Formats: sequence, structure tokens, C-alpha cells
Amino acid sequence: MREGREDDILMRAVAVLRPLPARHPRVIARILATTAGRSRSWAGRLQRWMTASVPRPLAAAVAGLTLVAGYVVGVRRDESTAEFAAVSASTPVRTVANVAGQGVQFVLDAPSARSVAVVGDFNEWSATASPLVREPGSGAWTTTVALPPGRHVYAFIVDGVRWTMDPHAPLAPDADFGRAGSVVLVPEGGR
Amino acid sequence: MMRLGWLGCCAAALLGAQESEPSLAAIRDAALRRVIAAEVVAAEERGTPSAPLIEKALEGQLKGANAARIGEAVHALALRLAAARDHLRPVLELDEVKVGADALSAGLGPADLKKLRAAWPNRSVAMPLGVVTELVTRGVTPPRATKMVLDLMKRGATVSHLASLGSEVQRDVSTGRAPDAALDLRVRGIMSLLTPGATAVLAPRGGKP
Repeated sequence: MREGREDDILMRAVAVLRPLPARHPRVIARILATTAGRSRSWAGRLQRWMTASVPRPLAAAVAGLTLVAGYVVGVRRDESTAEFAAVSASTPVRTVANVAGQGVQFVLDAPSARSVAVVGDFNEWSATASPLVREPGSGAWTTTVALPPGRHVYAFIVDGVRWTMDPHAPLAPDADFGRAGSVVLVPEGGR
Repeated sequence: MMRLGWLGCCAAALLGAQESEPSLAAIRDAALRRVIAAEVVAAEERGTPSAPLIEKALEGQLKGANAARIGEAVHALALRLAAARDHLRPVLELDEVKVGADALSAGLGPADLKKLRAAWPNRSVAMPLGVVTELVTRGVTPPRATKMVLDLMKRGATVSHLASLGSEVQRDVSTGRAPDAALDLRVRGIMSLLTPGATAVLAPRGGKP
């Protein structure tokens, strides 16, 4: 009930913020990412569905089975066949790709992450080629990658399994494999 | 001594090639690796870049697609690369072909590619193509996106102007502005910078010079 009320308040805040000029795009992106994640959270929907229409013993049994299934999947996960989960709503995410003098700086705000990497058409989609480094004293992870001029598609991988798009960057649809990414345009000098 | 020198050069060249070219060995599925290797050979025979084919396979692998789907996607890309190469002749750099293939995938036609090449016969059109592709992805129709970017190119817009156009339109569309309206606004803003005496009222907010 309280979460629903918070959602309403946040949605109203988003509605007010959207028409304004993006003076603080990082802040706006963070609010949008957080509210969007809440409204689409599977955990939240499951919780609401269970509390609204299912007897408590059945709900507990479903939750228990889910936990066991999650454990089994987690234990049996093999990196070579890993399927990436969508971005979780539980972790506030703020990402941005800045075209800097020496390359493109990728930033991801993920305080609870254990590892972050950027993958894209510039590093052969390798989850190990471009790791981000946590900034001391903050939850931000950064790396700078030299990119040739042009249009590049990328995404972040958090903790080796979580496919995370950049809410601050335009979406790059993926007709081939159905896993969208983000786009950065690099002018000359981005290398 | 001479032989050792040659050996050293060959080893360095091989290492360099391995560093810059995506590796077929990174494709874990042996059957898929053979399929992609055949596509690579065919691309090299056609004179089209092969690296994007391996990258596409690795992308599919990372995204968890099955081998059949990856093979189809790589073959379709090989066909687009060949078409892009033909429409962009004379190709100045291989990046143009790669971006041209993306442009065809986004919905641009052969005529659009040829017009961009004709506008910049001696300069790489990788960035203009990338910007047009991005505009089309945001919802601008291909003929309109091509025409607007062509107009800017003919008026002396730089690659930085074009990259700025793409970024500004991206930002406008993400804040709710209609793609065509965003494109109009930003193109007029850049035009005002290119044409002395033009009105500055429509210059983009925070636009780069």
C-alpha cells in the first residue's frame, strides 16, 4: 500500500520533470530509472498478486519453490551459457557515456555491484575486455574506452549476469537477437 | 640474421592482427565456428570487411542466441555489407561499409547511400551515415533524414556538427518532442551557425559550435 503511494508520488514527480529542460540529466535519468523499475518489477507484481488473491500458505509455498529454483539456477549457471537478466529495480542505476578528449567515458552508478563491464561492438562484445573500476568512496563505476568516430552500440553487464542498458542514452533496437542496447555517437577526436 | 628479422616481423604482424581483429576462436560452438569461418572466407573473396561478421557472432553468443539464429544474422549481415560496399563506391575506409550495412538495416535505401557518397566523394561518410541511421531509428523517415543531413554536408557542416545534430535530436526525442520537429529545430540551429547573418533564435539550447 505504502509502495503504491510512493509510486504515485514518483510518477507525479516524473510527469512534472519531463517537460522541463534537462538541466540535470543524471538526476532525471536516475528518477526515471527508479520509477520505471518499480512499476515493472516482477517481484513487486508477484508480491501484490500474492497478497491480494492467494492464501498465505500457498504464497509461502510458491515463495519457497522460487527460492529453491533460484538457488539451483544460480549454482548451475555456467558463464559460457549465461543468460543475462534485465536490469533489477532493487539497484538504483545511473549510467552515462560522455565523449571525452581521450575517449568515451562510461559511468555506471551501482553501489551494490561487485563487478561491472561495458560490452559493445568496439570490444567484440567481450564481458572481460573493458571492466569498470569503482571510484573510491562512491558507488560509481567508470572506465574510458578509445572509440573510433561513428555510432556505437553498448550495454553494461553487472555482476557478470545483469544486462543493463543506459537510461541516459538512446535505445538501440536489436532485430537480430532481441536484446536492445544503448547508442553513443562519437565525433572525430573521440579516439 | 636476416631470417630471424623476417621471422620477428611476421610474428609481430601476426600478433598485431590478433590484437585488432576479432578472433574466430572466441566462438565456442565448433559447428557455428565453421559456419562463420565460411562466411569470413566468402567476405574476403568479395572484398568486404569480415571483422563485423565475427563481431556479430560474438554479440549473438553473448546475448545467448542459438547457433542457427546467429548463423542467419551473420549471413544477413554479410549480404548487407556487400550491398553497402556496392552503393558506397568508391569506398574510402572499411568503417563506411560497416556503418552502411547498419544504415540499410535501419531502412535506408541504396539511393540514400549513393547520395551521401556523392556529397562527400573524398571524405569518409561513416559519421553522416551513422547520424542518418540514428535519426531513422528515432522515427524520422529515411528520405527526410538523408535530405537534411545532405543539406548540412553541402553547406559545409563538419563531422562534429553532424554528431551534435544526432545527439541533440536523440535528447529532444527522449524528452517527448516529435522526431521531425526535433530534426527541423536542430538543423536550423546548425544552419544558423553555418550561414552568416542567419537568425540565431533557433540555435540549439546548449548546442555545440
